[in-house]
Order: sequence, then structure tokens, then C-alpha cells
Amino acid sequence: MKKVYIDTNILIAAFMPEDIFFESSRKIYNKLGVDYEGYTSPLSLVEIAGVISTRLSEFPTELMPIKARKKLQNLSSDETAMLITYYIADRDGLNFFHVPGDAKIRIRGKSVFMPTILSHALTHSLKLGLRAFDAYHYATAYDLVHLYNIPLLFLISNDKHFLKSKKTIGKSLNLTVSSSDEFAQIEKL
Amino acid sequence: MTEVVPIRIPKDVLEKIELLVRLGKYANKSEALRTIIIEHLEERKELLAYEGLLSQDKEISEVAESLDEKEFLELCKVIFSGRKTSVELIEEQREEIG
Repeated sequence: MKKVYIDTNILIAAFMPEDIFFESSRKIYNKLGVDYEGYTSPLSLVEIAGVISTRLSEFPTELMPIKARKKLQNLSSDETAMLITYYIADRDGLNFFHVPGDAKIRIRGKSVFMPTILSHALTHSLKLGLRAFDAYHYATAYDLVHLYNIPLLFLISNDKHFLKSKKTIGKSLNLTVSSSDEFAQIEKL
Repeated sequence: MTEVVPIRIPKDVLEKIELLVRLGKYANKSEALRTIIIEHLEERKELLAYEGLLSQDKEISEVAESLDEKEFLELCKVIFSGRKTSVELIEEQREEIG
């Protein structure tokens, strides 16, 4: 199976039937565990949960489809958000890759402790000028390739910052950065 | 108020506890174990902090399993409906914190 890094926006788009990227993202999502081994950061769970809990807080329950509303009636809003997040994440062939351990950096003689992946994200953020969450995803993909020897072929994202720097990112990760539409076209999905 | 709890611990751990008592770090084995447990719970506050939400996991899983894919997609279609695209929804998360 080909190994690919999946950005959070692909996972969300795969569940938004009216989204412009739904078709290609859904095809990718459905092929996970079949033709592709997908990797992403556990940060995606936080991002998905963040989107869903924001939407639910603005969303009147009465508008939910009747069947679903009945089944969800005993759950609180945060439990419903958790359920939807887990449902999206629960896919064979979708791996939430965690870089274990803690790191220590020194700032003017003062020790600052943080998860290892965060220290890597900090380094990449400084080098490539990436924003915090982008740097976190980039660091996860970087460690998969360079520390854990997982030969990722693609980083699939519809994020304009990733797509804008696709050449630089692709070169440093030794892979192709593509949007979901481009990936579907290249792979003839 | 305290309660007596019989526990089984590996021999090598017990030997370390006995050594600490002999070194005078604790008055006896009971005090050593009590202090170590209290300190561990203090250091690992996260063990209890998220218990509330995580303990509901089973109930949530049962509801999730009762929803078929079609029902779930219909639910998502309604919840995600609006003017924002998938990219914008995630972008919003990254803009706020990033």
C-alpha cells in the first residue's frame, strides 16, 4: 500500500457532501486501508473536534435529521462532538502518528520542557516560516520520513499555505505535495 | 481517615522500599508507600482530570455504532452546512491558534 500523509482538511471534506473538495477527499478516505496507508498527526483530532464543537454550538438541534437526533438525544453537546470526531477518525488505514518523548530546550539559560514533536515543529517553524499548526503537521511528516523511515509518497492537503510552498516542502520531505483534486487526478481515482 | 488496602508488589520494588526505610527516608514501609502514591497522584493530575469525559466513551461508542454510514453522512451534511468550505473551517482553527 502506498503511504500518504493526510491533512485534517481532507478528513473534514470527506464528510461535507456540499464541499468543493468532497468528491476527491471522499475517494481518498474510502481508499484508506485499501490502496493507501494514511498517516496524520493526533493534532488532527483536536482540529476536527474544534470544528465540530464550534459548529454544534451555533447549530440548532432541531435541524438534525430525525433518525440521528433520536439516537443522539441522550448525549450532551460535547459528547456529540466527541462521537462525530471519533467516527471520522475511525478508519482502517488511517494512523495517528505520535512522536514519543519529551524534549528540553534552553532559552537564555532557562529550561523549557515540551513534547518532542513540539520542539521539532518549533525548529521547522523557524526554518520555513510555517504557522504553528502547519509546522506541527510538517514536523510529523518530516519525522515519519526522516526518523522512522516511513516512505511517504504524498502529502495531501488543500491548505493554501502547504500548496504555496509545495516545492520546498516536497523537496525536504522527498514526496509530492498535492491537493485532493490533484492527487485523485494523478492516482486516477 | 485511612483504610487498610492489601496490595501485591514485585519483590525488587519491595526491596527498594525497605532500603528507603533503612536509609531513614520514611518511618516505615506503610508511610513510604502512602507517600509515593500520594506524590504520584499529585504529579500525574491528568490521570483524573479527563476521567469525566473519557469514562463516557463506551456510551458514545454504542451510539456511534448504531449510526450507519448514510445516517452519519446526512448528519454531517446538516452540521457542516453553511458558507464555509472544509479548508476555511480548518483554516479558522489554525488562524486562531497558529
